Amino acid sequence: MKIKVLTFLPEAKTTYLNIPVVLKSPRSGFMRVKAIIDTGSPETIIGYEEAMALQIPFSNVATEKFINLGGSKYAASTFNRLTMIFKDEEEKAVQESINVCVLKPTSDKQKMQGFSLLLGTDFLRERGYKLFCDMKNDLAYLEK
Amino acid sequence: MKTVNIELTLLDKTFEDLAWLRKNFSKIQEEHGNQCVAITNNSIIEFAMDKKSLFAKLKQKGIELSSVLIEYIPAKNEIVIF
Repeated sequence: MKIKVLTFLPEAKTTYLNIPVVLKSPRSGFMRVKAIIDTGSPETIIGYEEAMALQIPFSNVATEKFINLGGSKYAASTFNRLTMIFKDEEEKAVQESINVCVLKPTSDKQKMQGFSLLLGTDFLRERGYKLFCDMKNDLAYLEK
Repeated sequence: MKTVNIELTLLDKTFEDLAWLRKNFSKIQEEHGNQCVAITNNSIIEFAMDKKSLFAKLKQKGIELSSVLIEYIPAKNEIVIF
């Protein structure tokens, strides 16, 4: 099974590995986001405002660790088993669940505007995906 | 793994919204650089300086989260590194 990964963002001169994803929350339904595959991150991270909007119940969870992202340190909590839905190359929905980190900004400067969901290497490892990537030819996909 | 139609419909809309954003990015960047926008059906229906404000506006208008794609539009010459 293959999930096509997009190799561009609208900022035409920049290339990121990104995938449209639907997030599913038992409390607030669905949210459409663009996930970035970040092989530099060992953790899968959801943006704070997205977590709030999805009513993910992370506020009752004590801060478990700190994550240094882009030079800023964030307090992080874990939400167990966030459900994500992708579309594979056969146009079928593929549902996966994984623990995600929610980073809580500690100042107004830490707004994390740029991403909604970072898929870290934990996603690839735990869900058993291989990442194939040929940026020169704009070809990338997840496979398992 | 399981197949669910509503999710596929939402994913197709997301692909369409991203394609529209890509096609019109220069113009959108001129108007909304350094802002967060809510996109649906080939248009920006709401925008704000940050996601918190944007989600609040959408909630106030009763717009469902699943109906829009939220994107941060970087300013010209800005590259986002995570």
